[in-house]
Amino acid sequence: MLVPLLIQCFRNPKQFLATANAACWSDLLQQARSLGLTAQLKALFERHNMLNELPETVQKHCAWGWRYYQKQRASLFYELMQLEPALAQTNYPCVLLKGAAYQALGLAVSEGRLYSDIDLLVNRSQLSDCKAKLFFAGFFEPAMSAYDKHFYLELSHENPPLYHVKRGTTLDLHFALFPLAGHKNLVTEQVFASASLLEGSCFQVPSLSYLYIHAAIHFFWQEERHKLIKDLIDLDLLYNQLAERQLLQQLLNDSKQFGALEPVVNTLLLVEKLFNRQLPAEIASQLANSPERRNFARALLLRQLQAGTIATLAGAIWYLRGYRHKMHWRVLLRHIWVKSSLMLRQYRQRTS
Amino acid sequence: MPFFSLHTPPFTVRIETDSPTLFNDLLRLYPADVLRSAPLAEHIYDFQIDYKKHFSGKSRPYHFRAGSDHFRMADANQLIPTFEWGLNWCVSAYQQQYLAIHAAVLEKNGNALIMPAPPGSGKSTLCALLMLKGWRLLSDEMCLIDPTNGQLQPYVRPVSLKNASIDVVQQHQAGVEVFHRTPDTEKGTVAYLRPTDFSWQQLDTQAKPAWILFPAYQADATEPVALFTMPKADTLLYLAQNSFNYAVFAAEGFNLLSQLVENTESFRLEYHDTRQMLELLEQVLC
Repeated sequence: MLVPLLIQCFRNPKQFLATANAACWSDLLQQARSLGLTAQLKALFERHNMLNELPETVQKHCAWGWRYYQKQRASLFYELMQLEPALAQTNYPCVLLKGAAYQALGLAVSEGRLYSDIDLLVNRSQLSDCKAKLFFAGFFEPAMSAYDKHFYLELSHENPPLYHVKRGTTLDLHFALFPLAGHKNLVTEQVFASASLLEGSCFQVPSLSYLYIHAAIHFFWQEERHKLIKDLIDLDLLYNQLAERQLLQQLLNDSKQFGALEPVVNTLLLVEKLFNRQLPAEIASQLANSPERRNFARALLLRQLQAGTIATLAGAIWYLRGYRHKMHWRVLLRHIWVKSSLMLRQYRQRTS
Repeated sequence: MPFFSLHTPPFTVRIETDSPTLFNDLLRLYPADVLRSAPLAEHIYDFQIDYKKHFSGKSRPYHFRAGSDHFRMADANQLIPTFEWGLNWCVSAYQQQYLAIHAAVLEKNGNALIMPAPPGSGKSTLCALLMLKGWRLLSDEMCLIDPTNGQLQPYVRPVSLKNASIDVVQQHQAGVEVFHRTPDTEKGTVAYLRPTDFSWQQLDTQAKPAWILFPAYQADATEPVALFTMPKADTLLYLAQNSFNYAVFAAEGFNLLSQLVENTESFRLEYHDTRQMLELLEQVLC
């Protein structure tokens, strides 16, 4: 199996350096730039103490990426500082998710990682109160149709994105980790139970295992194809820290309790295979015997990392499969019916 | 020719195309040691451009892409302008080595002139005319400030002329050759002027900034030419607004621009008589 260059590099950067020729490096730099991973490459090389051994052009690109990342990180911290006074008034937990949480915890996965928005999780019953507090901090919700609003609040897992009136920041306010329309019955309360308060802040962050579970869900139960490699690299970096801290058993227990064992089992198997990671024996045996193994889905995914017609075909099946996970078929049928009727009505109004 | 490469310091680009004409068309704009018929095997390229048709057929457009990032589509007759704009996009969107400002840069006797200005101000015309009068061209599009020493890094590429400025340059300098005149592009008619040999010879020699000039072509002005001193604070703000990556450079960007404005003289130049304007400029600056 041909492993994508970026994965080869993250798997073993020293070996990559020993074997890569100029064309490989050119390809790697271009692919990293397209996925916004240049600064993460720099962090990787730095963790392995090999920045000075790299070809000059590669060092130059790492510096370009790092400069951009530093600006993004500064903006993220600035935004969080701006949010603090508004959310400090709450008497319920406000949990940072994804990139903001990685950064707040200073995890390896956050080093060089770029962001487009801030993700925050609150209890569903507190959503209105939280929105009201954010409104007075300058965040507003653009107008949208009643159906779209219903879609967000009843079928998805988050409020429509909130934007800051002056700074243009995007804030995704979640009340669950996965679309409700997927009927996965995930126990969101467990995320709150696992979370801990950030020192000196009103924000909480989920435990490392719930950060992995969240990343795994959005990787394995979704239909997008364009950032599979980036997501796999995130999962591998999170996995490495879980393994270092001997939290893999905890991860399996948490994911079972939460109701998302399937994505965790299969992403661990993918990380093991693609990044050549040695899973501890007791974890490996649990995965080997797990009823949650999805061999076909993992094969579909591996196929997409290659080029050619079969990869396109695998991508098409992955797309349909992803929607099946995100939306129960009855919900999906109703959604398609409503959306197409609305579009037809709009078209008729325009032409009449 | 499926692969070729462009070595214009400080950036190198590898191009993959299925156009049978692109390489030869570019050879009229770039010298042979800059535009190579095959990429160098041992060289790591800054950007990899994919400039191909996605479907066969005579009228199908070419797609300009850097990796998986799509820039724009181009019909066969607009290959050159889209290629030049595409390269500008790569550099302005991704490079973070230099603080980049949308401006033309020329040099004479070791002193560099920066001309930031909005489209229609006559910046490219003035840049072309000064180059033809013996100034060395560093760039007609991008002023690259090296944060390590505050000097200006050249990025020598063909000068792009638009609409009326094509005729102005040709009238002003008889016999000057303008290449790839392309009508009906997004920016009207565009054509390209090849940088002078002197500019190509020093394609990687940095220059010390000396003047910042804001040209403004004013057809109905009473004076044929008028030169005003610009307040330094205004100059700094204008440069910041016209920078591609000022925000990314953060405090370092502010310090760099402050230093630049502190060490240079800045002027606003209003004109409608090109000949008199050039005379005045040479008089004041040299």
